[in-house]
Order: sequence, then C-alpha cells, then structure tokens
Amino acid sequence: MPALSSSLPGEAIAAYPPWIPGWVWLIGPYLLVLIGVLVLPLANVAAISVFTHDPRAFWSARLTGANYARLLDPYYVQVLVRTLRIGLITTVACAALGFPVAYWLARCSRRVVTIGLFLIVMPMMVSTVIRSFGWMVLLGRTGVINVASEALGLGRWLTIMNTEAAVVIALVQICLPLLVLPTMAAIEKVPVSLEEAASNLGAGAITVFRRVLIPLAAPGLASGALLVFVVAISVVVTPALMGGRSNRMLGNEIYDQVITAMNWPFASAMAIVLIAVVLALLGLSLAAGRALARRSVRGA
Amino acid sequence: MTGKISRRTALKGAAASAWVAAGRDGVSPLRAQTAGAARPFTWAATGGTWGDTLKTIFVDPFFAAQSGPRPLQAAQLESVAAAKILANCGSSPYDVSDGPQSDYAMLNGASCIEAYDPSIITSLPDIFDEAKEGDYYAAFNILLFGMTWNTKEASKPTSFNDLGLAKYKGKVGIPAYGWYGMTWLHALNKQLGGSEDDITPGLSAVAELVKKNGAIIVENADHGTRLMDSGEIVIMPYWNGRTVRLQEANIPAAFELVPGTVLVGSGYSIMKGTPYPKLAQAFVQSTLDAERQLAFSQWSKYPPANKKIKLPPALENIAIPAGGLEKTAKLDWKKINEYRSPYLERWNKEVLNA
Repeated sequence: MPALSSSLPGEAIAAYPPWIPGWVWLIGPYLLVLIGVLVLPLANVAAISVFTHDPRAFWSARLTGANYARLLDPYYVQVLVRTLRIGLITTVACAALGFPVAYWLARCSRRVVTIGLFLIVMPMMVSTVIRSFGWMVLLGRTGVINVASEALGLGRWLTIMNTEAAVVIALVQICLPLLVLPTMAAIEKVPVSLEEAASNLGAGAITVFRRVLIPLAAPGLASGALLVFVVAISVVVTPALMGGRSNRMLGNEIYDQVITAMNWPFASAMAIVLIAVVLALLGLSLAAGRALARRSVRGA
Repeated sequence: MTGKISRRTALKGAAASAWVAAGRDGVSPLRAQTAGAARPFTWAATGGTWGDTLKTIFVDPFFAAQSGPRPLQAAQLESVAAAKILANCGSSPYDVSDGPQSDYAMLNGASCIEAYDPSIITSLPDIFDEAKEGDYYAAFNILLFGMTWNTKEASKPTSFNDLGLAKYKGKVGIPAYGWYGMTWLHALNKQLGGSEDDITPGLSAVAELVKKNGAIIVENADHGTRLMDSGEIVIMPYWNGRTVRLQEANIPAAFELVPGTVLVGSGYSIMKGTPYPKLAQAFVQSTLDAERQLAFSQWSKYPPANKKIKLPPALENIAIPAGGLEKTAKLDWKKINEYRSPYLERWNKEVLNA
C-alpha cells in the first residue's frame, strides 16, 4: 500500500472513500461520542438551569433567571470562592510535592521507575471514600497520631479534622498521581545533556531547574496542574467527610440540590457557573502562558 | 439559499435541540425509557449487605415460586433511586423500589407510583399504621431515629435537648441534611412548637447546638458508627438497629426512643408504568409476610412492621417499647417535600455557618 507509506495518516485514510476527508475518519468517532455524552447533556443542563423549580416534577418550563440570581447570594459566592481556593492550594501543593518526584522517576533506572509508578498509581485503585476514612483514622481526635502522641505524654494536640487543611491534605494525596505522571513524561523528554551543558556553563542547580527544566517540562506540568485543579474543585465525598460542616464546596451544594432538595434547575445553574468559571480561568492561564512565552523569547 | 449553514443557524438549532432535550414540565425525551415487557423485574434498593439480605429473604424466595421474568437488582442510595424515578415518572427503570416513606410521599405527589391493590396486598391491616403511608406505601421494617449514646461517657437522654448539654461539648453528632437531617430537623422543630410551614424554632435550636456544643455533622450511618466507635461522638440522633449492631461490636452504646423520634419505614412502592403490575403487587404482599419480616429483623435488628409478629426472646432487645410509637413525630411529608430546597438553603446558611 504505497499510499500509506508515503502519506500522512489522514491522507492515507482519505484514499478509501475519497469524498470523505481523512480528518473525519480520525476524529469523527470521538466527536460523535463527545457530542452524545458531553455537548448534548451539557445543553440539557444549560436549558434546565433557566427553568422554574417545581417540587413535584423537578421543573416547569417557565423561563426564569432566578436560579442564577440566587447564586449572587453571599453564601454561594463564599462557597464558590472556597472551592476555587481549595482547588488552587491543592494544585500548588501537588506541583511542589509532585515535581521532584516526577524528576526523580524520570531520571532513575527502569526497575526503580516500575516500582515508583506502581507506588504512585496504586492508591488510585482505592475509592476516595475508603481513602477519606483512612485519613480520619490517622488524623481524627482519637486517631493514630493523637493516640501515639498521648502515649508519649504529649497529649492530643492534632485538631486538623473538619478543617479546610484536612480537605487539602486528602485532596493532595488523591490528586498527586495526576500531576506526577504527565510531568514525568515531559521531563523524560528533556535530554540530560541539556542539564549537563547548563551546569558546564556555570549554572547552579537552582538555575538549571528554573531556566532549563521548568520551561521544558512546562507543558507536562501544566497538563498535570490542570487535571489536579479540575478534579479538586469537583469533589464531593472528600470535603463532606474531611471538611466538616463549614468547609463545603460547590460539589456538595450541587449534590444536595440534586439528590436531597430535588431542585435540578438550581443545581444546573450552579454546574453551569462552575464550568464557566473553570473555562474562564483556563482561558486566563492560557493567555498568561502565551504572554510569558513571548516575554521569554524576547528575553532570549 | 446558498445551502450553507451559518453559525447563527447552527446555534439556533443547538438551542432548539437543547430545549427539546430538556423537555416541558420535567419530562425529557432524552431520558425516555422503553418500558418493554421483555426486561427483567427490576427492584431498586440500597446496595451492600442491606441489598444482599433483601435478596436472600424477600426476592429469591418470591421469584423461586414464579415462572415469569427474573429479578434484577438496581443498587443505589434510596435518594438516588427516588431522583431517578421522579426523572422517569411513568416510565421508571424499576418495577418496585425500597425506601423511606418521605421519598414515596413525594413520588406519590408527582403521580409516579401505583396504588396498592388490596385484593392482592391483603396483609395491609397487619401493618402498624405508623409504618404505612396512604394507599401506596407499607414498610416491612421500622427504623427509629432517636437518640444513641455512649453508656460510659454519657447519660441516658430524655429528649433531643440533651444534645445541648455542656458536658457533651465537642462530642455531639447531628445528621447531615442530605442524610436524615431534613427529617430529624422537622421532628425536632415540632417538639419545639414549629410546624412544617415554620422551621425557624428547629433551625435556631440546631444552629445553637452547633455554635455552643460544636456538633459534628454525621454524613451517613457508617460515618456515625465510626465516630461512635472512635469516641469522637458520645451522643447523637441515630438508628435503633444500628445501635444494636454497635452493642454487638462491644461498643458501649444504647438507644432511647425520646419524644419526637423519627419513624422511618423501609418498604416497597410500585412504580407507575411497570410492565408487571400484578407481579409487583404480589411481591409487595410477600414483603409484608410475618415470617419473612421476622427473618429480616433477625439480620437487620430493626423491629418488623407487622404487628402480629411476636419477637422471640433473642430479639426482645429490638422490640418497640409499649407506647413507643405514640412518642414518634407525626410529620406531614407532603409539606416537608415542598420545602426541601428552601430549608436546605437555610440549613446551610444558619446551621453549617453557625
């Protein structure tokens, strides 16, 4: 099949029914899935968000802006801000903890990588509920740490359960693999010779890290950070079990409105706002990334 | 006409599709389900050991004697099943569903469930009145949400007000609104002179409890068990049957049926539009059978709803004390369901932010 060996994949496939462009064969099936399971349901959610709540049938088709207006209540603004703050802190913490791990894994022997990856990925096979219960056993007032501390005569000093910090700790543990894996893949592509060349030219370890490693691994780091952020702001179980009463996140509010209050229009409005905020933040970060890239090109 | 589709036209088409998908009056074509008679007989219930035991005691023996469709369990939280039934009103993915009467009162209000047929469900008169709701719900087990306390670190409570005692500061639990907090709030509210239309007395009391005694929100039954086991909580509104389980695990706990205790049934309702209406009626009748209810109580540690059952000596500890049912809260589920959303918001603002 000479066409296959001498053409780009899309062009090669296009040879079969020539009237259908190659790209349709390549991304068409996924586009169909995307439309079926994402775009249409999302459009459904968007439409429900402007309907009026009816306790007997979820909603009636009277259009209203009340569901969005209700979100301007300081309580919901506070929940949204808290959600974004927890997401951001979790992302930064995962980056700080995960980058060194990713670097080490990218530079060590194959055997160690296998063991390291197993250790990184294994916790993902345990449900978040079980992991949250695990943290409760560890961090609770009568948890392992406090009991051990009391046995040593230091008293029960750990009071972190039911705080925002407890939520962040649990989320970092849950999300860390999402940052390590793409970052590690990006660092693996950075030739060790570049680091050695920078060192030979007099750059210290921090300079090599800041001027060579970080810029070249940035795409992987950014992908990982994005995954962590999106997962962290959409959790339900972890804040419910670790955060106590006053650290609710938007996911908890949406869950309660869907399952307990049966107010789907308001829950839909919250979901749409959360998606819009995330998209806006992504747009901003992309713009900032481009600006930084332009500045570094000019600097070079 | 150029034959091309402009971006504006495409957006209009997408909006129209979304409108049709969302549907009018909560009936969406996207979620329409074919209620074909070829499907298995689908029974919804919470999963885990509860669902397994329902299967062993009620479902398997009933279908062993039937030649028709085979049973299929749809396991999920009862509240999730209720949401799905409401979303698929009239073409429910289930034929019967197990849960508390509060959910079924809501589903009945939305005309999503079928009335019992007294010519098939003949055991209805044997069931405690408190465990029945209208002509569409009868429980097989009685779950009481009263007060559970640690017998070593707390004293026997006389009312829900004991949660506010200073000696329990930081060691008190209250149920999350999404678990049984909504129901408990209404029960407490009535004890304090409120009504379904006026939740303020109950909300103020719970907010005060949280503020002064640092009440911990209990997210679900397992969470409550863990908190009692670890000693983080020494007193909380909780289940009678679960308390017996705590005792069996050598945790020093006891249950008290205080005034305003919530009676929550576990029973089956029949979904409107089921292709197996007669089979569903017969199945519900089988869940009211005294022998099967007793067998389930032996496992669940909740008392049976059939008042003809005499508990054996080994189960006397789960019996409802004389006059106990009169002490339970009398709640208007229809009104409670109408206020689900606004009271949730008030709970979040006034209780959780207290």
